[in-house]
Amino acid sequence: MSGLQGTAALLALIRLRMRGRLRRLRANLKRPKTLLLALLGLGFVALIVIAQAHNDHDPARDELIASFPRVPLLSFFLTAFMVTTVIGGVRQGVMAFTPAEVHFLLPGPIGSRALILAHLINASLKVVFSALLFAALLTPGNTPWARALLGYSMIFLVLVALGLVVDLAHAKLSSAARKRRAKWIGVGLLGVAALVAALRLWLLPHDALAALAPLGWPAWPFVQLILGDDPQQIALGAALAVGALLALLSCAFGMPADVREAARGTSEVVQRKLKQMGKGQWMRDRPDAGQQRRSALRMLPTLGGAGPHLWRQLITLSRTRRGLAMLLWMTSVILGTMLFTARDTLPVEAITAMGVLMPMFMGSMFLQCDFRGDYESLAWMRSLPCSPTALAAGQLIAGTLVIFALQLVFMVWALFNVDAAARPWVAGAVPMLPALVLLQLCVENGAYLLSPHAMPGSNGQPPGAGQLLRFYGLSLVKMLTLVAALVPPGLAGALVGYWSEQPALGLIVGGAVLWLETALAVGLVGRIYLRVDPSVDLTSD
Amino acid sequence: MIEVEGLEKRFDEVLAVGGVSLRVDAGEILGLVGINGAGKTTLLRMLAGILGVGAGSIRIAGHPMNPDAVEARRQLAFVPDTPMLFDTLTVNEHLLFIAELYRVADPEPRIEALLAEFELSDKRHSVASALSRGMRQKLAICCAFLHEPAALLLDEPLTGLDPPGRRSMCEAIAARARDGAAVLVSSHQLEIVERVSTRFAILHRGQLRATGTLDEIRATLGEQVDGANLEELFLHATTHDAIADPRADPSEAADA
Repeated sequence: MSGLQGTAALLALIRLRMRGRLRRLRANLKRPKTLLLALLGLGFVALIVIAQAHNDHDPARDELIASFPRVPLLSFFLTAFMVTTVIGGVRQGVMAFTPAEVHFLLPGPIGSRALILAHLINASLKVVFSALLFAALLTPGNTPWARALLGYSMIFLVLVALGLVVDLAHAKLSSAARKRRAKWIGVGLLGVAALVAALRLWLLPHDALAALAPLGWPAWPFVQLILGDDPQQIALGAALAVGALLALLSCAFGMPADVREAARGTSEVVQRKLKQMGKGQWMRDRPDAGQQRRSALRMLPTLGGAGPHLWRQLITLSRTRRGLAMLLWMTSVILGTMLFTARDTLPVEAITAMGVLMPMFMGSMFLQCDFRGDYESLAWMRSLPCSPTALAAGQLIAGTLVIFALQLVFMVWALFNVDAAARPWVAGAVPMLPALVLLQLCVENGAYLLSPHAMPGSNGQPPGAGQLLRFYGLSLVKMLTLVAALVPPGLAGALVGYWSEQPALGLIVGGAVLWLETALAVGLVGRIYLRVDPSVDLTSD
Repeated sequence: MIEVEGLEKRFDEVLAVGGVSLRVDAGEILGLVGINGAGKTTLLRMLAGILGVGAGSIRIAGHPMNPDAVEARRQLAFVPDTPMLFDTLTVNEHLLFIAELYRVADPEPRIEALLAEFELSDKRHSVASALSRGMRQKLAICCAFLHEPAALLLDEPLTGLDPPGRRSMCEAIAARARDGAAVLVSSHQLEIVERVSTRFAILHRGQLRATGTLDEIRATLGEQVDGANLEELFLHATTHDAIADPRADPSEAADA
C-alpha cells in the first residue's frame, strides 16, 4: 500500500466544499420556506437543549434516573443500535465516494492511505453531528455533556473504523461468498449472545438484567465513558474504546487490499441506495436484476380506484422485507427493553400506550409504501381515471394495515393484563387505532408532498446544517400538526362524556370524530398530491 | 503511451473483458467501438485504475498501473460517460482543485486558456449544479486537459454537446494528440470516431475483434468489406459471430 500522496489536494477539496456548502446554505436561507423550516428546526433543537438544562436541576428526576439500571440499559440499547447500523447497511457508506469523487479521485495520483484518510475526515464530520444528536437525546440530566459527547463520538468512530475494515475485506470476496460469510457471522454472534444470556439467567434466575447485560457488552466501554461513576471503570472503558479504535484503524491502514476497488464497489452500492432514498424509497429492498417474482394476492375490487392502488401497495409492502424487518427490530428492541426492565414499575396502560404509539411512529418512518415511494410516478398517477381521494386512500391504507396488526398484538396483551374494569375501554379503543394510524400517515405524506425532501445525508455527504435544521423543522411541524388534529376528537369525546355522564358515549363520539377527521385528511392529501411538481430533483437536495 | 497486455476482468463468474492487448502511441487517437455490454467501459475503467485488473498488465507512459500506482495516474486523465462534478463547487474551484491534485505549477494561465477554449469564461464562478449538460461535459474535459496528461481516456466525450460544441471538442482532442498525448476515445457515434481517430479497435463480447487503421481492419475482416466505412466494418465484425462467446452470461451489466 502506498503512502499519503495527494493528501494536500484532498484537504483543499474539503475546504472548497465547506465553502460551497456555506454558499448554498446562504442562498437557501433567502427562500422564505427554507428560512421558516430552519427557524422551526432551531426551535426544536433549542427545546431539547432547554429541556436538558432544566432537567439538570430536577432532583426528583435525578433520583429516578439513579434508581434505574442505566449502564446495562444503555449498553444494551447502544449495542442494538450498533447491530442495526451494521445490518441496516449504513456500514457500506464508510468506504463510499460520491460520483464526483469516483470521477476525480480514484483515477487521480492519490495514495491508497490518503484515500482512507479522506474517508476518515469525511466520516468524522458525520460523527460530530451524530454524537451531538445522541448526547442531546440520550444523556441523563446529571451526566456531563462533554463526557457524553466523547463517549458517543468514540462509538461512532469505532463504527466508522469497523466499516472501513469490513468494506476493505469485502473487496476480496465474491458477492455469494460475502452473503454466506455475513450470514454465518450473524448467526454465530447471535448464538453466542443467546448462550451467555441463557447461562446468566440459569445462574441468576431472579435477576432479569443479568441476562440483558451480556447482550450489551460491545457497548460497555463506551457506556462507562458516558455514565460510569468509578474512576477505575471509566479508565478501563476509555482504554478499551481507544484500543479498539486503534486496532481497527491499524487493520484498515495495513490491510493489503485494493482500496480503489473497495471504494468503487461500495460507492456503486451506496449510490444506488441513495438514489432510492432520494426518491423516498429508502427502505425498499435492493432490486435483484432478473429475479422473477409472482404475487399470490388477487386484484382487489376497484372501489373508485382505491382498490388497484391498495393492491399495488400491498404487493410493494410484501417486497419491502427490509422495511418490515427494521420496523419489527426497532419496535422489539425498544419495547422489549422496556418490558424486560420496567415491567414491575410501569403501569400496564403506559406500556400499552407505548406499544401502540411506537409501531405507529416507527412504521410511518420505515414503511414507505405510499406517496413517498411513488414520487417519480406522481405525474403518471394524475393521468389515471381515479378521484384523488380514492387514490390517496389506496396509497395510504396498506401501511395502516401492517401497523394496526402490530398494535393489535399489544392490545390483546393489554386485554389480558389490565384490570377487568378497564377491559371494555381497551376493547373500545381498538376500532380507533386504524384511524389514528391513517391520520399519522396523512400527516407524513402531506408534509412530504408539500415539501419533497430526501433524508439528511442522502446525497452521500454529511448532512449540512441547513439540511438538518430543515429536517428538524419539518419534524416539529408534523408533530404539531398531529397533536392539533387530535384536539377535536379528544375535546368532542371529553365534552360528550362529561355532559351525558356516560364516558362510553364520549368514547364513541370521540372515535367517530376521529374517523371523520381522518377521512377529511385523506381527501386533503389527495388534493395536495395534485399540486406537487414532480420535476423537483430530490437527489440534489 | 498506453500499453495493454492480456487484460482480463471477471465479475464473479461473468467474463467482462478477456485477453485484450492493445497499444496507443503518443500522438495517436484510438477509437474504441463496441455494442452495449461489449466491455468498453470496463476496459476504460481498468485503464484508468478505477477497477482492479483480473489478469494482464497496463502501462501508462511507461509506468505500470496497479492499485497503488501514483506515477501512472499522474500521467493520465479519464473522463467518464456522464460528467460527475462537485455540485457545490464553482467551475474555477474545480480547476483549482485539479491543479492542486496534479501539482500543476502556476495553473492560472492554463485555466484562463482552457476556459476561453471551451467558452466557459463567463461561467467561471457558476456552481456546477447550475451548468447545463453540455457545459458540465466541457468542464469535465477542461479538468482532464488541465495537467496536460500523456494519456487521455475519454468515454463518450461528445454526449450532450451541440453540433458546434462537438466540432470544437473534436478539434480539441486532435490538438492534444498533436501535442503528444496518447488518446483513447470510446463512443457509439461512429462517424465522429471515424473522423477524429487515427486507429480503431472493435471490442465484442469482451474481446478485441479487430484493431488497426481502417485498411488494416478491412484486411483482417476479409474481402467482402472492401471499401467499407467504420460503421459497416463495425456491423460486420459484431454481427458475423466469428469469435465464440466466452461469457457465461453476456449481460450488459459490465458495460453499465
